[in-house]
Amino acid sequence: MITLHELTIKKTHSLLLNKEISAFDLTKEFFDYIETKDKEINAYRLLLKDEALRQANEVDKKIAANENISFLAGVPLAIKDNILIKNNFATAGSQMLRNYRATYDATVIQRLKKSDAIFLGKTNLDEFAMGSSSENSAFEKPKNPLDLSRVPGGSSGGSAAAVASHQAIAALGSDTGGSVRQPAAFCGLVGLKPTYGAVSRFGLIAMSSSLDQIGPIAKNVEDAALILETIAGKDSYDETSENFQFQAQSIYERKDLKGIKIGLVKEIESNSFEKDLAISYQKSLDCLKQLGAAIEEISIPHISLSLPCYYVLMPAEVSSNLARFDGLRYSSSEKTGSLKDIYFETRGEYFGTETKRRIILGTFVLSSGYYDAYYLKARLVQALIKKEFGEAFKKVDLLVWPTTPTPAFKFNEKLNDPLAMYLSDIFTVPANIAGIPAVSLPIYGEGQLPYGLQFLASHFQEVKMLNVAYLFEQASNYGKFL
Amino acid sequence: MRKENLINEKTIDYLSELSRIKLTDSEKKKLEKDLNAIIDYVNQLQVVDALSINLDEELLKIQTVLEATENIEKEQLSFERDDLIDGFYDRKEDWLKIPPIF
Repeated sequence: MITLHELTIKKTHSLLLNKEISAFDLTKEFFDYIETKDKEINAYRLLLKDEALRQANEVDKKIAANENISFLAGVPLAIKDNILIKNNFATAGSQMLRNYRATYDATVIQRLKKSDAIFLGKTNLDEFAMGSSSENSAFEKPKNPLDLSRVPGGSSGGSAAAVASHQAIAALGSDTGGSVRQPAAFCGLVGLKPTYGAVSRFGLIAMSSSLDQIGPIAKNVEDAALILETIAGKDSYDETSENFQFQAQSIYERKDLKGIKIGLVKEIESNSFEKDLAISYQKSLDCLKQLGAAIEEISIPHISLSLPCYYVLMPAEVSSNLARFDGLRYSSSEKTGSLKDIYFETRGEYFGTETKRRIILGTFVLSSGYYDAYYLKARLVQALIKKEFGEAFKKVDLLVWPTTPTPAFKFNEKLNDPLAMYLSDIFTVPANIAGIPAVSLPIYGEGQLPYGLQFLASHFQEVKMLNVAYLFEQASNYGKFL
Repeated sequence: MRKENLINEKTIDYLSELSRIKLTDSEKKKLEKDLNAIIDYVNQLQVVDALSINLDEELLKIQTVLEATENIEKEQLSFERDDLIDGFYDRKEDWLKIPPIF
């Protein structure tokens, strides 16, 4: 009997190679555990037991035949339910897609399948990945395994909850405004948003196409790097994807942080942090200094406009991306009447509150008479913010600030106040607006609940960013899960 | 004098029509309130003098950061025609059948 909570990708790999356990038995053990555990957590929307056990069997055959296997071979993963796995349901947390079956594999899924990773199931999320608590799911609402009265964060809340409750070794999420990093921070995990274009979005149900990125949620930096290595790179089905090659091995190159300059953005006022966050943040900065990093203050004058900018651009893209859900395709509506009746009735009934709010808001900022004042203005401000980030990265290697202003909040705390919910993304959104990579690592103050420390780097500087993150993780000794 | 809200009942009706979403009266009331609060918040953007930014110029600066590769392995996508059609509202042979528009 192995202890599931001790498993990382590398550890699983060596257990499998040494034949201490078979992929089949391991996968089965995960399903046995999920059967009882997920009753209290609600991480999963759908389990893929038959397919997973079949995949595991294939891995065992390869091991028996002494074939070379990848680090991810036989590793049980959880997949956010807005990422397509062929022939399986993909709801995106919406009633609109409750009967929709994916007709093809997302590119990330295809790449993970090639590496023989195992998919345990699809995880719950905020409808169409819109939310910061997973409470906008039209189905089960996942809970935070560290405190069941609190949300796991969102929108990849199910993915984070699955990993934090040891119902998967790692998971995939998607991050449009913080949806990988924020739930990782709330659940004490590592969450990585790659550079925009580093990972193909083909087969990810689009929310805001210019901001969406798929990223891993894992127990440590090493596991996140191994998943990034597998899913990154150019894809001919996503024109925005770049020829980005990432080697997980490269995160060990640096042994200390001598010569590394880390910038603190003065516009993010650390004296306004709540007490426990201030304590954990200060401890983290001290740790970075001890590792040899030079810490200096820099300015990104318009960074505070990232969130207002996001809440114009994102809904605008949402309103056009979600126009395709008309009740006529992607599983049919039972509504009848004229074509217009079917549209209105289907979209009125099967979109949830937040989805409708964002479509309506997006329609407004794109409408004649308001386009220049809102959408165009936000695009201009985005260009300005990008430029300022570019200037900052001429002076420093990385930026650092917290992932969230608070630890995981309680259910219903912000559900009826959209603006309060939106403000919880204040520290994660800038990376999406600038298109840069960011990773969140767990940090702790004096309380029980974790916060997140976020490292941000210039475009495609994942190696440097994860190298620093890895060293910080080793030194700060927050590998709480292991 | 209290400034007038940008979004009123009429605006919501118009947006509902544009976005093809049927809304109940209580949804409309809540949306009016929420959207005004959100618009109020995003109005911070108006303080920036955007005249200094030339978006065309900024867009031109965005180049492919990494060298493109010539031979990207093109993964074969296999669609089953029937799988796609299964999601249709109604079908006539392999066509999506919809109610008459006129």
